[in-house]
Amino acid sequence: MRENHHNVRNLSRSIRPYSGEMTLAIVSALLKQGAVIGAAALTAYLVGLALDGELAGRAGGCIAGLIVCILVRALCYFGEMYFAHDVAFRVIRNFRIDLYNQLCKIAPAFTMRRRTGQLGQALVADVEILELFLAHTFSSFLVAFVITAVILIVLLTISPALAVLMLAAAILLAGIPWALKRRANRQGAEVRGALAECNAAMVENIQGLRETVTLCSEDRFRARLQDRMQTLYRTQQQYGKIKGTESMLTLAVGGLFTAAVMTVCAAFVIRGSLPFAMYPVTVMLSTVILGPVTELTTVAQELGIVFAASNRIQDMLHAEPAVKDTGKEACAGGPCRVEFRNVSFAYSPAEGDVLRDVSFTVEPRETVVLVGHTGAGKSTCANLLLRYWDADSGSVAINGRDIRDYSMDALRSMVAAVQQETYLFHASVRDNIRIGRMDASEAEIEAAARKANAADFIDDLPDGYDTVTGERGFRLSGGQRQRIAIARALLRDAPIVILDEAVSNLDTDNERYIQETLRTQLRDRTVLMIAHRLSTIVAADRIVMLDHGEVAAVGTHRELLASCEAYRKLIQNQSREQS
Amino acid sequence: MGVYGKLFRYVSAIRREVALKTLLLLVISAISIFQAIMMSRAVNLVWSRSALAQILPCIAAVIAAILLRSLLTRRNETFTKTMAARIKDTLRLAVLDKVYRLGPGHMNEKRSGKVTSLVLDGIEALEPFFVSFIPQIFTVLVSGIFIFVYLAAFDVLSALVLLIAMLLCIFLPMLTVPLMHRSVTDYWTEYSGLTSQYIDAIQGMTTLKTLHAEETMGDILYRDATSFWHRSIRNTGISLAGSGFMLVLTGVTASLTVVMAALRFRAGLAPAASVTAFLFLTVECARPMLELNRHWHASFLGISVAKELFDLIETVPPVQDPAEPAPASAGEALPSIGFRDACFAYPGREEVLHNVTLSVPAGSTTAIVGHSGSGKSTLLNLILRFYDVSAGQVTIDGRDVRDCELTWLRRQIAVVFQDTYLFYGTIAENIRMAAPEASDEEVMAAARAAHAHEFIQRMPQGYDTVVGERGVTLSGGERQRIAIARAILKNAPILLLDEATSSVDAQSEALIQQSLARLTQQRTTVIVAHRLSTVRSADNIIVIEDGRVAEQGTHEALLARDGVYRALIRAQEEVSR
Repeated sequence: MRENHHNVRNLSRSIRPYSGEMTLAIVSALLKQGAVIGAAALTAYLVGLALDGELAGRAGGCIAGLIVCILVRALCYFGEMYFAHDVAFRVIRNFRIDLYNQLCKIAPAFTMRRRTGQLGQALVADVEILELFLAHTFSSFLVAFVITAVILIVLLTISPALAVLMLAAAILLAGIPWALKRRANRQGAEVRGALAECNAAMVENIQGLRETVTLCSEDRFRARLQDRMQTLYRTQQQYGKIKGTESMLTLAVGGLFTAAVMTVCAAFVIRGSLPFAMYPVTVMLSTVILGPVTELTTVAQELGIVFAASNRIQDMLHAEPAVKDTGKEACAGGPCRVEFRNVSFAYSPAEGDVLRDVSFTVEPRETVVLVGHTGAGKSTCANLLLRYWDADSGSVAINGRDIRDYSMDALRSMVAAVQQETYLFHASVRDNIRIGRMDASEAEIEAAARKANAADFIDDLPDGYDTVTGERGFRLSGGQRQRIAIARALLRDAPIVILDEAVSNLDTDNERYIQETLRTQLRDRTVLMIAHRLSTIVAADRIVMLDHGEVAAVGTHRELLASCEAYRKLIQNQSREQS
Repeated sequence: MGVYGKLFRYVSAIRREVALKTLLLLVISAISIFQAIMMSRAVNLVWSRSALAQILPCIAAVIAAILLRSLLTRRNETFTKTMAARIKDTLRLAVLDKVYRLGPGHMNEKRSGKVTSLVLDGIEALEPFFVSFIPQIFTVLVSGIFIFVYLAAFDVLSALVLLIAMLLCIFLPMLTVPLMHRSVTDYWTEYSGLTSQYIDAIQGMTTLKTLHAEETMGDILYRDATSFWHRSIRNTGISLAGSGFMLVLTGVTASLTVVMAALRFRAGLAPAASVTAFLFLTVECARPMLELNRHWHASFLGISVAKELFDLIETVPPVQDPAEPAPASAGEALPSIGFRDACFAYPGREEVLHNVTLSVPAGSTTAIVGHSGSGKSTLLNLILRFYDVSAGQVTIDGRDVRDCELTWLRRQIAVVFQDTYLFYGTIAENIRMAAPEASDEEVMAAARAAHAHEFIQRMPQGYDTVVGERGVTLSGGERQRIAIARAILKNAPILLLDEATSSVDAQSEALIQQSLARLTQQRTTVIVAHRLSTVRSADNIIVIEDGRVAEQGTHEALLARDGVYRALIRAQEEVSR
């Protein structure tokens, strides 16, 4: 876990671009505290004067001063909070964007083993919590320091005894959060962690609702979720206890300080070293001059939570991407040649190699299909060409150049892919199709949909191209979703196309249509396919047969039928099923 | 009943806690008032130049009050959290139950991010309303009256001014409610929208990358996050204006009453003790007011969430459990399934099924074929009662499914969907979902029968391998086999199968076919079929075309008819040639 000062430094750095506005907030805060103290002093002074019978002639000035103090207080309160919050919200916005950009770099290697709900919390709720620090703690800290220092200096000239008293009280107060820091940090981390657990469980509950209901598991899931929530409540209660202790100590120290001032000053008055009119003033002031420090300890009560949230954010921002975008090479124009050169790869050392010494080539304008049993490493090849991960040894090359030499931007613009699972965004069908090329014209979008044989069903949707598909595209059938994915890829117009089971969810007439489209549309592209269907396999120029992460055979359908026993068996199963 | 009324109804769920907390706050207030009175007495004693020995008991009382108050404050904070847990739990359970009762049919129209943030952040935001604002109202009322009565004994006029100001403090903020309400509701809408947008981005990240669309999504998020910043600061501005106004009001009141008391003392209209009493007690008076205001603002987000919350809680489930479920048929006989003139339209869309009549005899296997989008999967959704027919009926053993208890109905059915959702947990846990009491051997036997055992064994921790939330580490074919294992383990008399077209390689495919063949033997089975092999071995084939039954019969009979079916088959053969 990070030390607190790391968090403070990180957060303070994030404020720096807005230091002008933050200064305004701090100046307002100082004025506000001045006004609070001024108002209390003036009111008390008035009482003192009245009791001493010296009110005449001075009442007007005092009242005028009071009015000014009250107005300044309200106005500066508004100013302080407004400016501080504006800075906070800006910084929060920046964090959100930074986190998204980081997510782009570290996904899917980082996200694969994490849960959406937990990640989502870091990106939204944890960031939101930072407001407590950015808008409240930062200025409180400076104000407490400055105001206390000023009062101490003033007091020193009036009465060193009082100054010593106040210094002791201020140090005690400031020491409270510090003393409880370790516990607060631990509990804060537990609260945020428990909340993230709840988040993940809840997302799962909603997204897996169909399974839960059909498997009659509502009760068990409810119990599980309730369990998580009880943990959350327990951690919140524990955090509440720490806060309670802090409040208790803060109140006690502040109160005892007042009592001490009352006693000391009473002695002064009785001895005659302090005029009585000043007595109510000192008592009243003793209740407000520690205000800034008290305010600081109050906001500090939330720091355990804030730092926990900040840690979660920093963890993500500092996660090492699985691939580094250090290449400079620009996009290669024209037809591309893809090469796998002795590639070996493991997702994690524990799981063992998924690819071992894999070499094959996809010539420009050629269509190569990867075949093999489940787990043979077909999709992993696609993942490496997309640079979701980098090969452990060997390399993947486009036009003879290692893909690590290209900038990520260049690589992405060269390779388009249709993946096994189609993800549709919560957006209109139109936006879902053009997401890879937002500047595409209406005509281009419709042409792409037509080529993917999706135009007809899209026209039948209630709002045509404007129909919003659900978050998970639930309302569309698997085949319809897949056709949208194909339309997307066609619109992208990239020289290299990966089709990972791209037609697997289509029924036969759709498949036939799309096979035809792909044949004509992808004629001058370099295509790497992953397929199980015989029809798709046979249509390819060449076949690479993978077996347990190794290349078992390469050749045309006819060649492999003749030479490769494993391939024959693979195909036999397929044809038996379809004949 | 408005949102506030409904909120108050939930207050009664924790009325004991509210009463206790109010009592606690009142005791704290009483101690504070006692402390203030002791302080004013001390000042008066100093004024009359009494000896220090006379003043000290007052100060001792002040110290005692402070210590007691500190202790109680701590107690108060812990108690508040307990109270918060109770109310949040009540609310969350209410929502969760509703989510289950609304079922996948309704919930799939909602974005999971929205629902999640409602249940977690939204209900979290309601905490201040229930645990701080409500008890504070009672506290302010009681302690306000007490201070008024006490001060009125010294000087009625000043006390009256104070009372009026207090009432203003309570009721003036209410006037800003309409203004605040809009702004905060929008704030919440944008917040939960942003959450959904991020969930979308996280789950769709690989898709974004393959489409080189990270920037496009980044732009959208930038726009949304920026708009949320504008919304937040506007919201804060409005809220701060209210609080600033309150500060002026309480400030003026405190000063005004003290100044009045001072002037009236000088004019001989009020006793000396009154001036110091006012000095300290107005502070005590203003404090609960400012607290109330603070809690009011803290509650606002929650209150604006309340509408969405109650909307969800009050949604009438599209599918309801019958008031008097028809008695379930006893006996071991397999059920039959029937559709009689069934019509159906998804909410807000055109009808997809028109007068569908078909029957699946007990123990038989029926294959449903047809073009993509012809309404095949909808038939399964209706048997499962994710939705209800708009006309006609769906029956099981001749009984309308709407007369059957939902849990009973779903116990009779095992389903394998086209895409399988795997929950975060081990593979064993995921399979065992279908029968929680199943032993390890039974789970393994089911996996074996589904031909999943082999690949599970190959995984790093076998059956204890944790699969990701979205089953990322498993391929489509593997996930499907887990679903089949679930279905085998569930061992229900009806089997619904939405055949995944081909995310499995041919060998596993053949194995799956084998296990399915065994599975369908002692069951009434409906398969949405894509494969020739499945179709051919079915007892009856129903061809759906544009939401109607176009033809039905056995494979041979339909081939002989030279209709839609034959065309479908021919197309398939052509592709595989």
